[in-house]
Amino acid sequence: MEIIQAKGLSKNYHGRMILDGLSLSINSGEVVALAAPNGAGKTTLLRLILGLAHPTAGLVSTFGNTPGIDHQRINYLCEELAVFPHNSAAGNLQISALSRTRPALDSPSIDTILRAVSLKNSRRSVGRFSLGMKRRLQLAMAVLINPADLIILDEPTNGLDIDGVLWLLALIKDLTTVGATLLMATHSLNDFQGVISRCLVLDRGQIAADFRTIDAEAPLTELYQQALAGSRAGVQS
Amino acid sequence: MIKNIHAEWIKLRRQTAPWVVLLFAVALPLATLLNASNPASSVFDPLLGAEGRSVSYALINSTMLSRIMPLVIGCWVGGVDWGFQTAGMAAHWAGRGRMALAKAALVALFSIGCTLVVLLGSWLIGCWRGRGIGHSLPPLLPAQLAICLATAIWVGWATMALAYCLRSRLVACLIGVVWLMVLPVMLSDLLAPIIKWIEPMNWLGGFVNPAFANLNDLTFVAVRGRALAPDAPSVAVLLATAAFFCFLPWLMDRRRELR
Repeated sequence: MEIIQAKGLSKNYHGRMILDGLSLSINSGEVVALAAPNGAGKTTLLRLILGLAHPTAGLVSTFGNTPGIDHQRINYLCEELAVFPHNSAAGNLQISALSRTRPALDSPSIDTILRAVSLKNSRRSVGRFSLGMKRRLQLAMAVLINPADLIILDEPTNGLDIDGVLWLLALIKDLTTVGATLLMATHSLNDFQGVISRCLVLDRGQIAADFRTIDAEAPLTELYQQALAGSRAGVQS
Repeated sequence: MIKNIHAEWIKLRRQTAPWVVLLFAVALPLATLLNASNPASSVFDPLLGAEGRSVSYALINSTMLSRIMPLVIGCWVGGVDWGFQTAGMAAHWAGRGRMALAKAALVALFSIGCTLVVLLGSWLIGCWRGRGIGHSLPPLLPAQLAICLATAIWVGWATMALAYCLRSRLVACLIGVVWLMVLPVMLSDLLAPIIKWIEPMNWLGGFVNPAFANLNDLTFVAVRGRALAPDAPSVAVLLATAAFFCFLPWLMDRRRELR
């Protein structure tokens, strides 16, 4: 079943073409990495899929519907460090739950979620947390509150320590076992070796390469660089 | 929807800045209100006009109070997600429309609460001090309450939309305060015809003029003179306001993506 489909997707920002007639299709249960040089439009593509931005041309759909309609079936982690600094960790989790019109979280549920990301339930403001702690909390707010069919992560390893990355890998494996589809924009391809089933390389506004990675023995960054170089050579010739 | 409003309230309640701003914004008019209920000792006496108009000054302060609070809260509720870069995630969690409605509902609830407390409070003070609203205008209190409620909600929503469009709580708050307080007071005589259109109470007052025809004394504002706008232009102004609420944020959304 196709979870995400895009056809001829284009996006202009102030006359600058970010995406140029991009087409892609992601099926249920896939774990897809979106890799690209800086500024190539990874985040823009994710925002278009989520309905947080509007395409200049072309069509994109999630679960066969216009983006935004099925937002409750999608979990999203944004690239920026986005937490509410004046609230406690528990307050941030409550905001996330209530915003999704889920029941307010009780104390044991909050404890469980915070323990899962190695945080303690205290009255301390999140503004005083370290970068890594904020990122763990943000991941919990994005992914652990609401079970979803599609999970979109934008640079999920930003700010995470080694333990955090390992925890994230375990979480992704857990999510895939229950049939969730993952799409993540990342520069840290090697961190996800053996977890990612497919890699999309975005360059010059289009999908420059699309290859299976589940059985890859070479480091994923190497495969990415080869694919990118091959695509650029093809364009030049 | 109640859960979404609750989420917006949790975002707001732990912030320090809006409550500090509110405290300062409330302290001055409240002190003046207490002072003005006895015009003989008020430093603002020259502005009060003829005897019998003195009640208007107490009224100005109470209505001003009932607008400043929604103004500040509107700014913070509208701009909170831009300040913390949570707009994209929050809009995704709730859906854009539901998030906007929750913010508008929270501001409206706050505006209603503030207006009730302030006006009934000032009415009681007036009764206690022997002058002021309580002394002179008890029959008009429900009508005054209605028009102040409408204005307070209007101001709250307007500044919420402003903060959303500008993506800054402080800038929106500054513009709101200048618009609401400084401009009418500083430029009162010089630009009276223009000021008439800046004052939000006039917009609503003008629109509902036929229904509130007997409110002339209520809307008399000492620093600006009589303040009811003509009906036909006020309909145009109301349409422009609707455009401001609906079209401008939508347009800004299209031009500047959520982050």
